[in-house]
Amino acid sequence: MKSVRNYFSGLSAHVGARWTHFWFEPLDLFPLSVLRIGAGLMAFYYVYSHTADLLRWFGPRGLLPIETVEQFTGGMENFRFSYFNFVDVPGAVWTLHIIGALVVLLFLLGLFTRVTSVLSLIVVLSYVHRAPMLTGQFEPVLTMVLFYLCLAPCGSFLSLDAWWHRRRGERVKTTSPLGTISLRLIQVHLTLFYLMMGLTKLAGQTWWAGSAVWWLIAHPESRLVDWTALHAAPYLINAWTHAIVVFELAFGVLVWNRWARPLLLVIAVPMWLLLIPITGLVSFCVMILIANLAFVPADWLRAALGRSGEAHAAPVAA
Amino acid sequence: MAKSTVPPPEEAARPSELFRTVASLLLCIHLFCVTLAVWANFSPSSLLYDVLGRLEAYTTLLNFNLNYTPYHLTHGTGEDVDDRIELLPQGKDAAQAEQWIALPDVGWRGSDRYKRYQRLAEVMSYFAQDEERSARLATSVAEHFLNVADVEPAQIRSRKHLLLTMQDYAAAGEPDPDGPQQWLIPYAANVVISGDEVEVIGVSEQGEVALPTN
Repeated sequence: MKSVRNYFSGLSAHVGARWTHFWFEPLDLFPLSVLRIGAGLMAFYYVYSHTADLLRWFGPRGLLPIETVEQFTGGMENFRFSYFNFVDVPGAVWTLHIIGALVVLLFLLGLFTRVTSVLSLIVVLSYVHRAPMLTGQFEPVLTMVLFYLCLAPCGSFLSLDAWWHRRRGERVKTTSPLGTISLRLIQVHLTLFYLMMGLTKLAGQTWWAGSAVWWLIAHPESRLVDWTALHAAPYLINAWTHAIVVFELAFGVLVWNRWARPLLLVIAVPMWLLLIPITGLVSFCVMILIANLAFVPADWLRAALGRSGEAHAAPVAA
Repeated sequence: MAKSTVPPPEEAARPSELFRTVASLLLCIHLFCVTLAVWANFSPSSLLYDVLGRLEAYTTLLNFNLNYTPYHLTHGTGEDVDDRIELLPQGKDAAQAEQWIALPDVGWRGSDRYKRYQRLAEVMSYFAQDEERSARLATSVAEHFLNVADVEPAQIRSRKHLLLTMQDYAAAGEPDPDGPQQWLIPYAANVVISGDEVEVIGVSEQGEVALPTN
């Protein structure tokens, strides 16, 4: 009995120590600032992409009037809050759209980041919830990153906030407990996505049989490039199909290993970029690559952006 | 985690034990919700579905619910094909494919703008057997074209663009992906306009709607 008690005592202490280290060890805020720019760009693109057809979708005589959407989703009764549900006049819809785009732009530029991060999330969610049947794989990843960026001071670097505080000579933190939590949440949630993507693929026979990539190539109205000539290379189709599944499952597990991580992050780039021409899911593939930056060490990001000296220079406001 | 640039010790202090305790509790709850929401993406069990229903306020509001979003990309089934919505204006010949107005009708294929129209068409196809919802959606589309685009619709339908196999290409050389056998019509309806009212009457037998040859 004593050994059992010792085991659980040791287990508890070990798990507790690892948990504390994982979630609360101070981490550099620089990756979050880079993620802010990436997510901000994608959020701005997302809002902007509604511009040409704004009233066609959300207008009072649009393709999806509020009453129609509510019949499918239950509307705000089912916790789908959107400020577009309160307006039914073209002028008001346009006003909300322009204000939303400006808010997201401010977030991208890193101005009043603590406020604009939350507002940007509300903006993007309002488009999502106004017509959830129009959303695809891209929106959940975008809103996930935006939500977690709300927790952290993601305007500490590469932002107008940082520039302003530097001008004023203010000294601030370069780490934050919330920053660590935010970054870890993005990492964990992304890992869950990868595992889910890999496992749901295996629920279909086509991914086991190695033909799934062909079924993507064969979409005449979704693909960006016609690669049907690859019907003459079935082994290539098979290999590509298997590679996607193996990669997604491997990423979900091995990205936590410091030796495997760099390889997986590098392999992720061609893996996702090659999916773009056969699926047409440009925004989704790009957003996943942006989210992957959560796993790139701060040193590497600083070096890549020429900011290596900044960590020990006069810090700027968080 | 790889070594990062750690600032001076006075700035590297961990948060207080109270903060860590409260944060840990919230993290556990959040991760539980998120894990269930992600896990339920594909064919959830009854247990998972019911538990997720109780967490709906949190997971739906923040868009954690994946709602059968096809992250598997394809399983090669009839659901994993391209859809389109087509509208036949009054006085046009239903047998002539080019006389139908098709959605998507704008945008580059890789843009979200284009994808939204495809997803609308998928919804119409998916709910084809749900008379109420399919009629509601078809009515909204027909009303939009009547009131905004100045097109008086006679018929509306969704069409699935079926896929060719590798064997089709190997056998035929250059098969026609737009051939008549590559199309399926999950939903079709006649549109009846009386004054400002638009009504759609679903078509259950093929003979009631003249199907085009392409």
